[in-house]
Amino acid sequence: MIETTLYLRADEKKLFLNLSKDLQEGWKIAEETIDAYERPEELKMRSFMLRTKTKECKAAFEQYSHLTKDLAAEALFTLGAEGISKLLLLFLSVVKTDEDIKGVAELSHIRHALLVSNTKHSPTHS
Amino acid sequence: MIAVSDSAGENLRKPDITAEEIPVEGFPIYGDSEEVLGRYGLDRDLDTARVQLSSMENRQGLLEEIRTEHPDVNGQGEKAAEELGLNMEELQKKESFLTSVAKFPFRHPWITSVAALYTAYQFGFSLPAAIEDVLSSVPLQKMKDIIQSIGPVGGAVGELPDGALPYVPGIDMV
Repeated sequence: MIETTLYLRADEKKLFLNLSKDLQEGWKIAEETIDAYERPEELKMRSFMLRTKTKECKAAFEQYSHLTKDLAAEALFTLGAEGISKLLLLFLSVVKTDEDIKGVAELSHIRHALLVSNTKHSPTHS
Repeated sequence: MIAVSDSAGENLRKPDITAEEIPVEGFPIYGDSEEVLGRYGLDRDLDTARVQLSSMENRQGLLEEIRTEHPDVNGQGEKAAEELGLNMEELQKKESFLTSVAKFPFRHPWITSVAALYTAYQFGFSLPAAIEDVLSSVPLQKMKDIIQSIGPVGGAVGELPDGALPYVPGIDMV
């Protein structure tokens, strides 16, 4: 449930617990323990895969001024779990409102989904 | 056709290709699985196709198919096959991820902003003007720095224009 749960690593949890009690209220933390971060060649491959959507991305920016939901999801997949982790640390350092925590929560769920997909489909040997 | 030696996507071999070797000249990278499944003698099922690419069985058949379809690959047939294996791995992860997040709202401005900024960085797009209030609580330059530090990117890209913001409030995601 995105509404109430944050998937946070230990370093992120520490930042969350430093927030005011008011901001922490109503949120549960599930510790993010999956460490299936992308290999460098995976990130480069994803970058080239996103480039096959150049036309769609350009059209979305021109037509709607931002990406469609599907293209936004593709972009976040390309960004990868480590990139999202760096941004989560940044966002946790500037949280001021409950709405901000909702953003952190949603991003933490997106990272969790990435890590689960990585775990499920990574090769098991070299 | 390439024979299938295993019935599930388990015990797959890590493709033998580094980030620096990507892309293999003369060989395409596919953005969606339907563009590639069924080609090069591969099965139409992603699990099975990945097993075929991971296996060394009938490797010669695969290489011949690659060379026939893409003669410009020249002596890089083996690397093209490994790159194709990695491409399929990432296609499978992407499909799994997109299915998982289909129910997510993707409405929070931080989420849409991250996606838009990253895409703009990848393509070197100029971004439409937007109201700065959306990201007023986030140091935008830090966000840009993080996104630009992540790399690697697929090729030459432009810098984000100064003051560019990625999100226009009041317009719902479609």
